[in-house]
Amino acid sequence: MAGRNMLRRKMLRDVRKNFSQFITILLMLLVGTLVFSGIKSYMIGMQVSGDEYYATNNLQDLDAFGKMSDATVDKIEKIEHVNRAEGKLSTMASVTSLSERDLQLNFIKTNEISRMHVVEGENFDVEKDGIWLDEYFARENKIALGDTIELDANGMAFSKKVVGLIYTPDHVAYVKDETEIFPAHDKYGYAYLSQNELPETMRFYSSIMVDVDDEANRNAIKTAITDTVDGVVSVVFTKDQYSAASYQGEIDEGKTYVGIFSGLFIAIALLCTVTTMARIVRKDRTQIGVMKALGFSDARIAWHYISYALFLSLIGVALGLALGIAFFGKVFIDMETVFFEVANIHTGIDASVWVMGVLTIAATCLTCYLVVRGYVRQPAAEILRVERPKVKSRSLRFTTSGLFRKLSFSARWNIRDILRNKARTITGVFGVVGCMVLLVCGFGILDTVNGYIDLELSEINNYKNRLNISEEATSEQIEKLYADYSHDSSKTLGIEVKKDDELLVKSIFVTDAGDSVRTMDKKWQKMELADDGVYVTQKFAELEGYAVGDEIEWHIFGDSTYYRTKIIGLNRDPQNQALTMTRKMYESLGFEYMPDAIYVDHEIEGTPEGVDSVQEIDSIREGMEQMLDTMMTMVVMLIVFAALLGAIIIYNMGVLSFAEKDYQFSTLKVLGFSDQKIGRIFIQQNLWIATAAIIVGLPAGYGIVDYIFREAIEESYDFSITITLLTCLLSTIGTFFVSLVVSAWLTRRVAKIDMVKSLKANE
Amino acid sequence: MSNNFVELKNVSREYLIGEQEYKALNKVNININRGEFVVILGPSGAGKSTLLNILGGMDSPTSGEVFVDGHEISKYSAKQLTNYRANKVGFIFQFYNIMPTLTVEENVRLVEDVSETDKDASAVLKSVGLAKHARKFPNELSGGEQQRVSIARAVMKNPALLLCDEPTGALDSKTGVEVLKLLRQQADENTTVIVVTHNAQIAEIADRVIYLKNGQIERDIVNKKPKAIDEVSW
Repeated sequence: MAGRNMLRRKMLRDVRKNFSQFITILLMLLVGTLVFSGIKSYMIGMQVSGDEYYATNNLQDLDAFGKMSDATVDKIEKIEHVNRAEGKLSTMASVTSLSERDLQLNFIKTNEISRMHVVEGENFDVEKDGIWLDEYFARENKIALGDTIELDANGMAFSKKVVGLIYTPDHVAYVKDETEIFPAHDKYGYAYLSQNELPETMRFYSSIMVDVDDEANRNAIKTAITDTVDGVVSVVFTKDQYSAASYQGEIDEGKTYVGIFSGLFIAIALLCTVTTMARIVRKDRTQIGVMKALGFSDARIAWHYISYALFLSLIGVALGLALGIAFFGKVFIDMETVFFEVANIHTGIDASVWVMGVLTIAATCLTCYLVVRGYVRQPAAEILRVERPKVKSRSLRFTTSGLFRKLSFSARWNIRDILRNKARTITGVFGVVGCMVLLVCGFGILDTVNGYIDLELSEINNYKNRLNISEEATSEQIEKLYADYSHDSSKTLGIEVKKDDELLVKSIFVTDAGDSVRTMDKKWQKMELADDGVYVTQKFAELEGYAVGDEIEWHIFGDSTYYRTKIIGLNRDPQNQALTMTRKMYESLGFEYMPDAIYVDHEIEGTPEGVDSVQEIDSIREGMEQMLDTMMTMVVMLIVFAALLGAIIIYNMGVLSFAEKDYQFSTLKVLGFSDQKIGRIFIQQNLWIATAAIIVGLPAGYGIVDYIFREAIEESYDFSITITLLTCLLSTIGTFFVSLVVSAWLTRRVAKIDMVKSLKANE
Repeated sequence: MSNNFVELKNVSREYLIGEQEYKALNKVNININRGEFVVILGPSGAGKSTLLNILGGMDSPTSGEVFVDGHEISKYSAKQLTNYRANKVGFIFQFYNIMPTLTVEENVRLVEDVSETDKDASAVLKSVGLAKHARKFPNELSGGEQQRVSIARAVMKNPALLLCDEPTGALDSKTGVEVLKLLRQQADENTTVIVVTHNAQIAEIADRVIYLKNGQIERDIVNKKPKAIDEVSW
């Protein structure tokens, strides 16, 4: 129909005429959807890419450790439900052609399990001479295909030409030992060689990868291997090991982020939309009245305004989804690929992304309808009247006596205005709280990670270098190391804890490290350890239901003897939920104490005899700080978006409140109030709202950061969140500043108030 | 049922302003014939606009009965009132109230959506002297021209009842006269025209003048010898 066409034209022209207001809605929805779809597509992409990679390259289900042979492989393959088994001998080697670079060498015979993804070069062939090198390590160290690298593995020297640059699915995240927290691709990596490179006497396996027919059978196969196959010390699920577990942990972290941040962003975006639409509809009040007078039905008028929201939200959401999936998600994925080596990693989407898009559009239209409904339901004559403030004097009566009488005019004005417009005030507070929460979250995440690094590397580990003692080190060599460097030492044992019918893979930290490695109590203070039992970390105890006084049953990998040890205390550890005991306690169980680490409080040159490697605490710190840089980019984005959203909400609420006060401000102007004085009244109210939002936003932000770190981090982590005073100050000042600037900007309108027009009274 | 085109029986309208009750109309009785040009005069607050709003189906009386063309519109539902506004009534406002983002022609054609009109927008625009401004936007027109757009929009519906709230209130005398001519022309074509105004000069051209005061009819005078429109000025 022709008329409908007119309304459509009106809509398009209104959008063009009020471009800045409409672009605000569009941008808000775009940002909200972009953040949601970006995080979601990155998270889904990580999951899907990982699953695809594991399936395509046949990640093993189980790893059996011990000293094993081809016969062991055959025996495992004969167990029911085992598809295939393959052995490998893994050992650390230093790259002698480079300085302080290590490689985990894996000698294999076949490569059907955990198949290499060859980025460049040739596929694995046992008959082929050469080395298949971790592509990340090669890239970081500028090693190209065809280059030759020199290696030293426990005295065995190799000189190998790089024949392939690869990823393997069981090395998605690789750290060279348990002291490393994040992969440092420049310092160490992994490589594969043919078993033929080894002398006959060394052609045995340190681990056997087992591929099962169905994941449901893993437990039974694990038991069968442990019980029936000689030479196997332990069997561990591959997905519980560092590579797969840390990758999955990252995805699970994303699941928490996607809920919190996307929820916050979309909620704030919708709030912006409501406030903007309310502003637009209020401005169009007379036109709504005219349309009613012309005979347009309420539904048609409502639809006319809803069509604005539909039109804008469709564009905003579509652009947000497209940019989120194609760009924002990709940015996150690229950040993750700094650490994780996944072949063909890509973003991904599922139905939830589309559902959220549709829900956002529906919510925008619904909120728009709710705003319009308030107007279209009124009689046309009422809408065409000049809107006058509604005052219920009874509810304001209390502001006319007592303390209130002593307040300034502007304070009383604002108190009454807030009381009269509770919904608008609450909406404003809510919006600014959202901005504040995002700021606190952004800064708080950085504070917490910094706090964690400080706790780990300054409070707990209190040394400069850690000597990783060789497994082959003799007692004499160790005595010499004690004498030359330090007596502070420790030993970490791989154990299995028997809890009901379940075996939990854990470790015992046997300490004789003095003050070099501190054990922390519940309040993160150093605690002294007694020698008559074992300590378990508080988080482990809570998760598994242990308490002080209970006995814990455990055995060391490779030794079937079970020990029942009394728990004599709970300690806390930020990154490893395990058991701790003193050297004396360990020796009292009948073990000989041979340390695997000695802690030194000074610089060390070279690698002493009996030591595999020297690990500088500063290099760990560097690795962590590198990760912080990545996080920083995400946090900066968060803060910028938060400030933008906050500014828009404050602006919208300001304009709304301005429109409502137009009549009153006109009166004040007529009475002779200066523009500045009226402006101050207006700014005062917005600053009050900002203050209320800060009071609510600080604890709310704290709560959300706390939730993120409690829910998002893996079970192995345990650290309290840190929100520094600086963060509180920056968030407060930031929110105040945005509020002040936007309010000051809006007060320019006071000068433009048309006193005559605004005060034209109804008959 | 009487033969009057518009009939108000004991119509009252009360408002709450803040916490005060205010009677805008108090038991008003009026009969208006089809094709009459009626001017309603009265000071501010007399209830003129309220009366117009009730006749236009934009407001409903608190009590009393309102008949238009034999139908009791005071009993109409919201939907019936919308239909009534769309097909029976044309409105002309003091401040024109035309859509700023639609052109002159588009503003006039806007009513095609709600009214089963057979009028041609170009012809209507020509009749009000705006043919050459059809593609202009309202802000490119003078006040008088904008009011003519408003009249054209109202006329486009071919309404039986044309309600005008201070149609010349924002116009100078000369332009106002031009607008009144257009309104008179509508009455001559058998449209009932009711004009609410403060301006007593306009009363001289009306067929009938109703004086309102404090929500009640003070006087209801039939003008036996209406002045020619060109004779009035203010």
